[in-house]
Amino acid sequence: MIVGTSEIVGLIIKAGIVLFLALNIVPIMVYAERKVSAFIQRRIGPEKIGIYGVIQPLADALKFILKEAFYPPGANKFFYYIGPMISVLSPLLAFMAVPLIPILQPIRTELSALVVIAFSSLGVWGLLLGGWSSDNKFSLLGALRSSSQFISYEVSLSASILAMLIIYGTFDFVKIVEMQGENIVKWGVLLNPLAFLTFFISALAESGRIPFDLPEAEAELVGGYHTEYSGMKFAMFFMGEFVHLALTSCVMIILFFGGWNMPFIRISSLLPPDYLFTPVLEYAIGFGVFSAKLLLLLGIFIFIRWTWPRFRFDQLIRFGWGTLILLSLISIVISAIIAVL
Amino acid sequence: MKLLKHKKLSKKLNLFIMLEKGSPTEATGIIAPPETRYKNVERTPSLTENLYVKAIEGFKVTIKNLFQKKVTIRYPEERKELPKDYRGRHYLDTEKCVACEFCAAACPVNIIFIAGEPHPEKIRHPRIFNIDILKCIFCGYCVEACPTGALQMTDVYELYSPERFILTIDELARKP
Amino acid sequence: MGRKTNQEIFEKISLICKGLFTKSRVRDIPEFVVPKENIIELEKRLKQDGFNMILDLFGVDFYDNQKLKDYAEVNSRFAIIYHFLKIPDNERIRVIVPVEDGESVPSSCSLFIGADWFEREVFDLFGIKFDGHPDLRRIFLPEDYEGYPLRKDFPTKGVKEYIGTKYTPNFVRLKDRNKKHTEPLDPFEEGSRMVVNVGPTHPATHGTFRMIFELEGEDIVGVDLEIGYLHRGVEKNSENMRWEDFIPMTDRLNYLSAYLNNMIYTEMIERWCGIWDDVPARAKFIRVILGELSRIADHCVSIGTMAVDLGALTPFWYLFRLREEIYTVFEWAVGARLTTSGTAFGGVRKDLDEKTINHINYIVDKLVPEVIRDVDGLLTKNRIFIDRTRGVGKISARDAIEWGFTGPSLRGSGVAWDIRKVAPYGLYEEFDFDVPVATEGDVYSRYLVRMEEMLQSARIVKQALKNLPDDGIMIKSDKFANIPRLPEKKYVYTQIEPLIHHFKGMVEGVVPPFGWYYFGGEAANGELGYFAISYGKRTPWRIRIRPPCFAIYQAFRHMVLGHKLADFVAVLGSINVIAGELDR
Repeated sequence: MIVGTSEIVGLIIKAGIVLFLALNIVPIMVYAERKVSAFIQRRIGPEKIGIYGVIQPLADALKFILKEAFYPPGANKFFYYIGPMISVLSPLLAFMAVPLIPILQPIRTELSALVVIAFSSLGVWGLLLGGWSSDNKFSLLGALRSSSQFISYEVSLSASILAMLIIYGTFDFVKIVEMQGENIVKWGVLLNPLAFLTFFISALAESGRIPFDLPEAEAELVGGYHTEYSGMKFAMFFMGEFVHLALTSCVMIILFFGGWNMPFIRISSLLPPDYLFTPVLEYAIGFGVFSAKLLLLLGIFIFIRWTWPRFRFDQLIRFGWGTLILLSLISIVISAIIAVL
Repeated sequence: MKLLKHKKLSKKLNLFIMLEKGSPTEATGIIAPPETRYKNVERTPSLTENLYVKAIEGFKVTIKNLFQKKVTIRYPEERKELPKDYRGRHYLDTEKCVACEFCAAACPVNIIFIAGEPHPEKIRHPRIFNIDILKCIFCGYCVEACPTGALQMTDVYELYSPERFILTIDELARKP
Repeated sequence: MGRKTNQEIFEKISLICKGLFTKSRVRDIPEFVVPKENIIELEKRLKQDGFNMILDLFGVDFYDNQKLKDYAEVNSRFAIIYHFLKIPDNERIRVIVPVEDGESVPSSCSLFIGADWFEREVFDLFGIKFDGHPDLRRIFLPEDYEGYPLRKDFPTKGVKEYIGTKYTPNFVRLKDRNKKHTEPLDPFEEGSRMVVNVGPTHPATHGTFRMIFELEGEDIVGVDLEIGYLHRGVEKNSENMRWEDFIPMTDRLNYLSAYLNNMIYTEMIERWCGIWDDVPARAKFIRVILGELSRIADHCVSIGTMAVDLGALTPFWYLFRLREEIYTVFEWAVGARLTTSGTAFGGVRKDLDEKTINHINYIVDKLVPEVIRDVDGLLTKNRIFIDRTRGVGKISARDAIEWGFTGPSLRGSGVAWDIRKVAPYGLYEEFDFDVPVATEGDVYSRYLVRMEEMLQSARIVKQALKNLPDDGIMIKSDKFANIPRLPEKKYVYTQIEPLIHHFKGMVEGVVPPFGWYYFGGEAANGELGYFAISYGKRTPWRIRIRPPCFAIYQAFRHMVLGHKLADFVAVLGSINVIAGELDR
């Protein structure tokens, strides 16, 4: 395959844009999480830095960067450093195959669903290596928990993605979104609500948030796999978690909520057909719709975190293997029936 | 819906959801002394609770509270109103003090040190009056012991100091 | 069916234990002096009669005080005092076992498991050995510490300076769980076990104490507890203090509900001196109001921190908002937030003003139900929370009584035991409230009990506020010379008689009658009791504190064994261990 210079440049630009967007989710999430949790708990939250504390995440980042680069004396230095990098890189790489709007998909492939699953599953290596290498029993326990948890929920996550792929008959995210269209009845969430439920729960577990934040359960494991981490290395784990959350939310929007489609209204019908900037505007509105959906989903994730307690480890695994996989298999059957009909 | 309330079915559903039910509620008798009126608050989770449906009700609480008035006090700018006889930093009215050392005697942790000197009007006057504020437990016994009302406690609770922890007579005599 | 009087109990026990004791009498409760050879036989007979709890076990050093020895009718230097309790009949007896220096006493652990840590404490602080105790190590002080601090000849500064901490773990193992007690085992007998150290600084230890777990996977198969990081020697300190000066010390026992500690201590001295009936009703009401408010605050912390440990962060904030409002009341009603020292012998130190009463009304009428409803909505019906707490840390009523449980933890096991009901002190007889009980004995039950207890406390406060009398806050009568009434400041410096009163009150302080006295009340964690010996001077000879969570925490080992690592935080939160009270 011969790749032209313009294609490479385009790829780099697209990748740069996606990277920028994906990484910007982190400060937004940090701010939103702090502010929403504060409001839920009837506190004020950050308000000193910037208006209503909006640049608080920047201050946090500055603090992380300025902290001493410390590593525990008994640690395996190589893995200790590489762990957080893997955990932040894997969801970022997976993001490359996620079309926020049709043209913004750096890895343009018909197998984008597979690419996303493949890359996002790598993230657990970071936690495992980081937890194992930092020479701490709590870290080790957290790492072990995280590996078994993520691998368990990977199954039901993939199964529920599979259920949707059966309905759409393609691996291509762009085609999936186009098939859903603006007609809300055709959206995945209404086609197969069970698959949505299992996907939602698995996504929650995969991103390691309450009620599934056992790898870092601070009550019993101090900090879990990142007990010994500080400064930028800790921030990378942190970013990895948020980017992963954003990634699964994006996949959820694509699979179940019609991607960049506005409900009920076709975006192109709003715009004059022969205007010069019509395609650009269409993409812009599509991106706006996508972002709105994303923020809504992330808001729900935040709400869940500040409402529920966490599971116990054995309950989590039992729930994953006993209930969730069963449900996701049922959802595959439902999908098959729908596909046949 | 009647069917769902059936015990056997509910048990089966629980089994399906969890494969392991929480501990079975055995009918254990309550041991109670005679004449004690007690209230049994034990409860068994209902089917909706077991199906995680009731867990979603938690969002009602969080969403309700999201729009409520905030209760935080922005501390350095806003302050809580405190009573005048709050047990904070001490204040010594040197005009009234007769260096009788009652406060030193009453102090449970022995942190008050007084040296008196003769005084023409009130016979004795404190030359040195030290309170080791780091050891102080703020019980207020010294104030109660003071026969003249010279030693008081104020509503000053910010007792930070870079290095000095012993309040001398000059610092104690400063009005808050 | 009425309650048995002390005399009846005394006659009954005298009959049952005939020939086992050398001296016997009835003081505040029936007392028996028993030679140490007979103590096991006596315990057996008591157990047959239904006495099921060693409420307290502690030592006393008479040193060279012949008068006290005569009072106790013993001839030895030391005595070990047992308080036996019968639940639910509330029969209490005291057994005094004389011991000479260097002698040892048979251990009661085989009959009453709850004696375990109490005997270790006596060994630690008095150096009296217990024969047959399975795990006789020092409990507060390091292993290689020199001297026994509660002996009268121990210098206050210590025998020599000690720096460091030496501790050898001795695990209670899962396989021994059903046995009453364990033989000391080699901690590393199986290589597959992971030993995890939790504390003294760990997010789940709210206070400073240390737990060492042996894990197989995530299952806890062995556990050892080390306490004593917050041991300040309160009991030793008390020997050099006036009786009043001990009130601020009681703040620092269970610092989450300091007012209850003050209240029980003050009431003990008042009853001992025989002035309880002359304490004005308003003072008693104020004590009940503030005491119950601090009970609510204590339960707030207990439930809130447990929820945080289980990952639910929001209930904590709602509960702490309530607690903050209660502390605002304390600021105005006492003048301090945490360490209240709010009571004085003969009354309370500060009156409630109109504003404070309105604020309390707002708290009990609106805030408490609102917060409880919110927390209820977040936790009680949440399947995840139920899964985390149901069946975890289970303890049966029988075991709980045997370990010495009192308070909410015992009520969570299905025993409706509340000192406020069975032996009403304060003014609790006049208020209408229920004792919440839950039958399962697990974390969830204890949580339910605490939640209901907050509502019941609010109910008591409401009734008290409605009937608040107006007859002063300090004792008025002049006939009690041993309670100094400090005259008003304006008279002290101008008139001679008030000055003398003031001087006498300050210098002599309160001197309770020669002898000893025990009084226990319902603190937030269970029965907090004070046993004090007065030898007619302005300082106590000994004050013994019966800490509720000391007895509860020793059973923690058996409550977490076999559970997952994540469960210990739930159990720990549910029994609400307060290091200040645990270590004293």
